[in-house]
Amino acid sequence: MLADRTDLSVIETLTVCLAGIAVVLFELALLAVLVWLLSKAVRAFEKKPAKAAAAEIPVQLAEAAVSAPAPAAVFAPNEVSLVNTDEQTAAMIMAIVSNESDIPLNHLAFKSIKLVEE
Amino acid sequence: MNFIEVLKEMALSSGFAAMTLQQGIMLVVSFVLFYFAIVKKYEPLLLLPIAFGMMLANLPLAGLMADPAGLMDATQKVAGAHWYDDGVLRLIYAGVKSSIFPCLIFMGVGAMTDFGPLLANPSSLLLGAAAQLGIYCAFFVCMITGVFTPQEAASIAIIGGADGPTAIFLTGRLAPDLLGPIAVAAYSYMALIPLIQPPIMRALTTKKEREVRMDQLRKVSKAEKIIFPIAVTVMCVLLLPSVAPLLGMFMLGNLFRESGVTERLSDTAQNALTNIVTIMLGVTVGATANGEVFLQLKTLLIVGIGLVAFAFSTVGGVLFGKLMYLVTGGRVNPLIGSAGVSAVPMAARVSQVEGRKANPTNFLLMHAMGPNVAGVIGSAVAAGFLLLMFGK
Repeated sequence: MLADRTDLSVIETLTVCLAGIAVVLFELALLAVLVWLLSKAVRAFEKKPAKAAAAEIPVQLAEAAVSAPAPAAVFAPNEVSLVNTDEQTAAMIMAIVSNESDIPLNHLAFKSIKLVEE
Repeated sequence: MNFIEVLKEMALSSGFAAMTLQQGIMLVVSFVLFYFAIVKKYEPLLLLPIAFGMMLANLPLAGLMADPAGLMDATQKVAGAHWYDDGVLRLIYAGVKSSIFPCLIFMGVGAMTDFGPLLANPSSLLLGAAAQLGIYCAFFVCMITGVFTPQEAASIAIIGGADGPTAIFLTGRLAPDLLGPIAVAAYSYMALIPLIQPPIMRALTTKKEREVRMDQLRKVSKAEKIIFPIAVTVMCVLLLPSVAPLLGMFMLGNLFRESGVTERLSDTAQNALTNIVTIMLGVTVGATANGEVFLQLKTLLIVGIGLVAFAFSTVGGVLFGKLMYLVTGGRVNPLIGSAGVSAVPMAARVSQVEGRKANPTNFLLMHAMGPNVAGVIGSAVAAGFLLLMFGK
């Protein structure tokens, strides 16, 4: 726009400065709104599968307990010590560990699940 | 020809005989930079190659930056010279001139950046924007002096963004003759951030404000981190296309990191590639600082105005932090505003240190990382704006 100019008046300089800071503020404010909307959308989208998973897990746990071959390996929720953790979260954590480690739930034994920070 | 004459001829054709006073001074300057890099450990990864490049370029008759082929300066063209006759540093310098090196560095920085704190607290983007105030204050001061053209003023002003690759990128495009002094000033001030910022932060805030403990940031999901670089690139480049080279590469590096499927690329961008480019960028930028260009009144002004730019960027960030403190009813510690001046992660560390001095139980580092990475985006946008205004 001003590529060929070798000098600017004070008014022009001030205009460039004000326009510059306005552009940066506007663009980053727009980004902040975008990030906020994005977070809302992603969290809303992620809540649904999480709820569904939480609902399925007790059923899986019950099935695992029934089909376990040996009493020592049977998972029994009562044996797990839960510290500052609700049962639903604990069930999700167990399911995730099982999924990530590729070990069936009935072959895993959990001793305790503790919330270390809020 | 006798033995004495041979010795005399050798002496006369040596670098000692050809050395000018300016070159001698520049060699001393390079030795001072070696001291800062090695002994004081001020940004040594960049200052050391810059100092070495400066030393090499000012050793007479070495011709490392000679350009007989006229690749970058048609006035130096010698008839019959080919591109491979140019000095080795001049050839490597093509990576700076073409903006390849700054953009590759930006990709590496993107691969090292965790946008989690910014995504957890999107309002920190505003702090990153406010902390670009110094760029425009410096631009105004440059123009008032009457010494600089608007293109030069824009290149000097970007020092206030506290972002080395951005400063090199913009200066390479608008005022390549000033690349040496601007790069040296930008990196020197970035190294001096722990000395420059704290007095300004303390002067602008009350003890009560500095003592504010901020709430724990929420956990950010992987999906948010993956979508963010894509969304930001699309939106920012659509709004301001001139920002594409820097921001595009920055976000590409970040996507390598967050996607989880390109670990090798992320590792290369963060380590090997960044290290290689840093060496070539540092040495060639240093080599542009030859005595004739460097030892001028302009250089002193650049150093002085660079400090103004840094100071006002800090002021902008802290004042906006104070505004957020008021608006949120005292839930935001204004000290995190100063981290909006890029210089990742040093500026965030300064916020943390100052916060802890006011309240030993305070932990501001993660809160300050939000404005800190927002500052990188902000300085890239500011550079894009200046390029749009003054670029050809």
